[in-house]
Amino acid sequence: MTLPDTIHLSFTSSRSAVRRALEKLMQHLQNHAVGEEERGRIQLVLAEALNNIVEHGYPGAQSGPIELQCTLTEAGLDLVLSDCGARIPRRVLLPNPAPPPSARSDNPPEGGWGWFLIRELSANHAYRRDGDRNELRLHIPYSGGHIES
Amino acid sequence: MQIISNNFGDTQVVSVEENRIDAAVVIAFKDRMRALTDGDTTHVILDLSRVNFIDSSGLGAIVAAMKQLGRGRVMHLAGLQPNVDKVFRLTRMDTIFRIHDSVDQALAAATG
Repeated sequence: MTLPDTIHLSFTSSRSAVRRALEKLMQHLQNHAVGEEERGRIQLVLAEALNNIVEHGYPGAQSGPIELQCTLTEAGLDLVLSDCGARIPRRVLLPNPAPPPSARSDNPPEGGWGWFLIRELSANHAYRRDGDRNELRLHIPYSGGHIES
Repeated sequence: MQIISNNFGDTQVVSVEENRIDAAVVIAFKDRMRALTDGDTTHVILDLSRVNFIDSSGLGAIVAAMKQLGRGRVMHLAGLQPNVDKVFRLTRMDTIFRIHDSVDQALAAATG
């Protein structure tokens, strides 16, 4: 394998398009011998970030373009997500974010974990608003042992 | 969304026959679960052994399915693959379900 290796995907925002993009990317990572545990982590982070764009960036009946660039390096995966939807709210990007919703058994939460999972499973993120464009960069390091030979 | 159900006395086993519960299918999943678990068995075992990916919307849909059961009914989860198990543990939602390695173990716990 020659590193780094970059794949670009672009699609119109919808839940089913997100699924297809994730499946395509997972196949690509598998072809590049990225292990199952790593693929699971990568898929979860990306699903949360892409679902956020579909649900909050292009809310309701809106839709628009999403671009995903994924670069495989020796240390992990560098991801760039861009879209032309609504700006990501400042509160979710603060250095000390709200904790995940409490797992209380009398009335358990049905959501609110998205950004918690993104932060928990990626090393860092950088957000930039450029005109009417959002750009979110995420790095997902391998946890060790990663690339299967 | 393919989900099948079998009753064993007071216990219902609901098996998800697809490999993902993600944002693309959560509405179908919730609707199907509501229809399937409309009965009155005390225990409902959700067999996730074929599911290899859930995102937070899938997790939310499983929680919603549990809440729909109402008082006095218990939801068990069985056969969680590593990626699925991880989502429950990271969000601490593993603490609000009864989780078993397999459907057989869940049945033994529910009927024992």
